[in-house]
Amino acid sequence: MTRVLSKATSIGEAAPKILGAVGESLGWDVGAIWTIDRGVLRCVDVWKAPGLDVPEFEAITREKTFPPGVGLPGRVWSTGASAWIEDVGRDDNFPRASMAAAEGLHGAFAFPISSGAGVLGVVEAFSRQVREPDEDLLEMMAAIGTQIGLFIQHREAEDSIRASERRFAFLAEAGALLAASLNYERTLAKVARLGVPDLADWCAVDVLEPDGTIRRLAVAHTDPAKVALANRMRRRYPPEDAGAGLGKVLRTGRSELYPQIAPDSLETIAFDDEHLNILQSLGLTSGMWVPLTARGRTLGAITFASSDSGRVYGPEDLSLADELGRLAGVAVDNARLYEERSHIARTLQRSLLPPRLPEIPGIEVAARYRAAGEGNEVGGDFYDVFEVGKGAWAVMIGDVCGKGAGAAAITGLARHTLRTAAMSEWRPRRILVVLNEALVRNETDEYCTVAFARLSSMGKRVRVTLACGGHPPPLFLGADGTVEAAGRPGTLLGVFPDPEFATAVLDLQPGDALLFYTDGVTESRPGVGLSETALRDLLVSRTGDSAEKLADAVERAAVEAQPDGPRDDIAIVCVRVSE
Amino acid sequence: MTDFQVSVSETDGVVSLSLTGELDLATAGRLESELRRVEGGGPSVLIIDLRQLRFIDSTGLRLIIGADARAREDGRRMAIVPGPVSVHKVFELALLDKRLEFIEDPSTLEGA
Repeated sequence: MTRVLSKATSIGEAAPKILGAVGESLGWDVGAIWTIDRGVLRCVDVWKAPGLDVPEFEAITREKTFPPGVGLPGRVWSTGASAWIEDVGRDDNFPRASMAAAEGLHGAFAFPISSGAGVLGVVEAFSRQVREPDEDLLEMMAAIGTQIGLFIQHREAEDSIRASERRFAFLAEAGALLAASLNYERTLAKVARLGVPDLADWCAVDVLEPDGTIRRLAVAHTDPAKVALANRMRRRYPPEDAGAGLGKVLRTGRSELYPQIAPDSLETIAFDDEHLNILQSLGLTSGMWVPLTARGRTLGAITFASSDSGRVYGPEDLSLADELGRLAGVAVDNARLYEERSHIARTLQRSLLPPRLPEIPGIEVAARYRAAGEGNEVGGDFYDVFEVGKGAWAVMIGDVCGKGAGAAAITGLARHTLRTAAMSEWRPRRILVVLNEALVRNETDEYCTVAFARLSSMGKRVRVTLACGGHPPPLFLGADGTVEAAGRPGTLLGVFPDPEFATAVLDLQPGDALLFYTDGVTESRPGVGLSETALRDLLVSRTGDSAEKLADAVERAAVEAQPDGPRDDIAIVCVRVSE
Repeated sequence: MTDFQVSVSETDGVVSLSLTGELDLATAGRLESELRRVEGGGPSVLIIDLRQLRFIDSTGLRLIIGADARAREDGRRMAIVPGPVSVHKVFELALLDKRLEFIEDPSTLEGA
């Protein structure tokens, strides 16, 4: 017996051998083995002595279930003790008596399969003879029952370990998927596919939109035809209106478990006959819905349902699904926060740059801006071009040290202070002094660099009056191909209460250009980046190009010189006197 | 990852920080905590040696300006040994070569 048990991998596989061993060695004719299944005893297998046929009795035994106390198996189950019947035909608690009598079965005994946890099943044996009770036999059978009980318990423990390993592997895989990407829509679709068929025949993910509507992100099903059917049903009968399942989970934020969906229970949830029809053809047998939660809010829900597999969900499945819901909820929440942050950054960034450049008669103006990183932080570079009087224009470019909200605030302050100052003061050097005072008063650690120029049309040429505060001097590109730095060094803005700025004046003739840029363009580290010399060479090779083409060429060269992507923001303003 | 190192040496209240590699947004945090730690010891002279520094960005510049401002407040002398041309240019562009103290030979201070 021990050998039989140790080789078997399940009670179903061991049952015929157990019954055969009991029947043959003891000379009994029919055996049956029962296990407890959802509150009743159900027959796992029937054994008959070779050559014997008891079709009626076998059929009723395989078909019938016994609650505790009823019949021979129920009696053993409720008492936990073996039982002996000399002749089943004369026993008043043996519902199968007439079939047994018709096929000549009389004596019977049964013993419990038990473990420390109680009765797990029952083994019956029948004889064609009327049998006197045999205490020794019953005692031996009780020992065998305990052995079988231990076997079942052991197998169940192993099954449960394997199941928990599968659950753990599933969660680990889902967690890795969710953590790997900020594109939660695509990721959740992958998670839904991961759930089928291991966890469900049917897995769907829905998210709750800010306006309260439910959007289905993903459906995975073992049978694609049913996906189409379910999608049709969903359009016709919105889940928002449903009193159970998805709609309820989204309202309450609590998971719902329906271990067994009885066919007639569908009638109570169906809106009308057609709905009922679709529900029935989906063939759902068991289902659970878990919320996607993060920071105490319900962001959506995952649906798991079984149909063809006949899987029945229990508390362990639900706790796995709940855990998945939490993981997925956090992933959705993170992705949304990130999107929101990127959106704010883009909006703020746009507010810090002029929406369009002014048209200046006789002067071409081009500007480029490229924020470093993934676009979720506000960059610190800024530029502006605006009219300051009749035939006079201001061109400025600047760079705030740092990134993020603090830097954005300083960028806004700098840009607006410069614009305001330029309305009442025409000398660039004085305008920088005003900004320096504003920043020093502001008492932050942030500082900025600025190159500020005033352009005045003087017939065909343009006079440039320029001051720099800690900023790379703009590069002059002559129509004849000469390049030189324009402007002289000045102190950083916002650091010293006694700043020092120098004024430079130069005249641009038709075809001459002036390139303003931030140090993101010439971020030259050992081995990477565009050096200032390389930038000069590039400009020389582009002599005669329009302002637009020059700005393009510089931007492209700066980006290409940093193969890993620009580490700093890049801003470029190019002005050129038309020929 | 950006390569950056700070090495600290001290002789008779003169603390010297030697910076090697690239000082930028990614590495500034390390210099900042090292500066705060060293300043906590109340040195009479702080030397920042940039001779081995290959790159500095505005974040790095801000740290050095901040350290200089604290040195003035605390009545401590702070001197910088200039780095290679590409690094020193960043200081010149902002007129910091005139606003901060630069010394060519740190041994003149270390022996003092």
